[in-house]
Amino acid sequence: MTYLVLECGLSYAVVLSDDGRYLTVPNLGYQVGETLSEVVVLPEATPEPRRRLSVVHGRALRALAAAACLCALAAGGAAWQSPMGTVHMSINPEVSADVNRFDRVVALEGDNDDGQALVDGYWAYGKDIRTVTNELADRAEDMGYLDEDGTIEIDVTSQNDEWRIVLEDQLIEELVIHVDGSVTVQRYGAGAENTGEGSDDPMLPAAGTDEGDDGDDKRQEVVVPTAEVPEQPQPATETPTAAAPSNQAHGDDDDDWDDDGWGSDDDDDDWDDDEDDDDDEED
Amino acid sequence: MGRPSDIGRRVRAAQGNARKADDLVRDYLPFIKAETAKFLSRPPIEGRDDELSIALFAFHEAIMSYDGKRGAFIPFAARAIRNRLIDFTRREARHAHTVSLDQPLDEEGGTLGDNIGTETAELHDLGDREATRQEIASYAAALSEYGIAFVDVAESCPKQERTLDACRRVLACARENPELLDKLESSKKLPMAALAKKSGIDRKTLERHRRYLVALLVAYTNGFEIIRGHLRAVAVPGGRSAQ
Repeated sequence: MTYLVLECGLSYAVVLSDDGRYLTVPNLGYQVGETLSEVVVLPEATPEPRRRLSVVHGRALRALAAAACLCALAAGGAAWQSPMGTVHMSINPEVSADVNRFDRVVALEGDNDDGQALVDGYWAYGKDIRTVTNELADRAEDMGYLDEDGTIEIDVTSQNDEWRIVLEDQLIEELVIHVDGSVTVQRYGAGAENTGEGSDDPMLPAAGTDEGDDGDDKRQEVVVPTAEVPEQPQPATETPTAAAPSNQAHGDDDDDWDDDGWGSDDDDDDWDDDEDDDDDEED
Repeated sequence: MGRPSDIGRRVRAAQGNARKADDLVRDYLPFIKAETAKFLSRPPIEGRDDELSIALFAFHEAIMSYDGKRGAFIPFAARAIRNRLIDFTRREARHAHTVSLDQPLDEEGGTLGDNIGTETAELHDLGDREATRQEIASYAAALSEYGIAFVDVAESCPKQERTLDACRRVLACARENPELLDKLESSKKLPMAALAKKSGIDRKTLERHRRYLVALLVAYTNGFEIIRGHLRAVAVPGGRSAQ
């Protein structure tokens, strides 16, 4: 076959084959009017196969992406649905809430008849456990289960001690704030907790407690700040105790306290006068 | 070389215009040489390495076929060059055992082509290169009256033998009915309906290859003897034969 060169550019040439084909071919130094016995006819640029290939790759990628999404969803769903622990809330009604690692309630049920009545019609799934305990406390109050002097007991069980302790503290703290001292919040645990001076948690409000008087009771009562107004200092009438710097000294002791006339109980200041200490001890 | 942000605009402007595309190829010659050098693992030598010509052609093809949705032009062109060089290398490998007419036969520089008679040599006997060139220029001018360039004809040229044979039958029909060629010359339009009716070829086929048919029929109007002489295998549909 022969080819007649019809047009030449820097990069291409148009040739006419003797069977009537017009072809654009690479210009390997051709000149117009030249007759060639051979030209470089490259295979058709193949966008179709490449596109098909890319479609195949695209489908594979899409399938992989979908699989990855499904795996992520499954893993996320499993992580969401798997309880990390259980929060037991006892007012009189008793309820148990399964909580996942995101502190979200995935199951809630009443442990007794009142508990069943309390959770009946209440949608807790997906809610933060702190919200749920607060709302259950409100519901209990509305339904007449929780009086002014009532008690709420919180217990968290989990294999993860760190999570359990943290959540328990947070729940009690949230409830204490939520009920605003109208009821008592209790927890299971050893030692004084959430009781003012005995508590390690500075966030918990301090209050006068019956510290140390019930060592045989594992439930540590948490007395929330109440509406009790601190009593005004009363004039000291009894023997001062050895507690705290006070105006107990009457000038005869050997310490450095207030030997210069401060110690007189008949002063007009509001300072101590030992009455409070005595009251505390009597408590 | 233009700024990177210009290349997309220049490519779009050059698409559909082989001359502009060639200008762009010239502007990006260093890039094309660099891509060829990457493939050859040595700098290409102009005029000696066919690979450079293939790379230039590949860049030209890339300009014509570039779609902005397929990413930046330069990486696209680099891939096109590499793919075409691979195609060329495979093709050359297939012809590795073919004896070249340019293969030197003796120490005096004579080649195989110099020592054997060829159809090419016979064709050259019909007229010198300059006459051929002038006729081709006239042919190009005649086609330009139809708004057609050689590149357009090449794009419109049938790829499949069956379609090519159908076009040959259309040409044969036109030659048997000279009034159709006259009508083509006078109206500068392909008498599509008449050709379809008389040749029995589907009109859609004629429309799809209109520019090619116009070029072919124009070659069989007045003049263009050298070109017609070259188109020996076209005269009889269905095969190659002497005119």
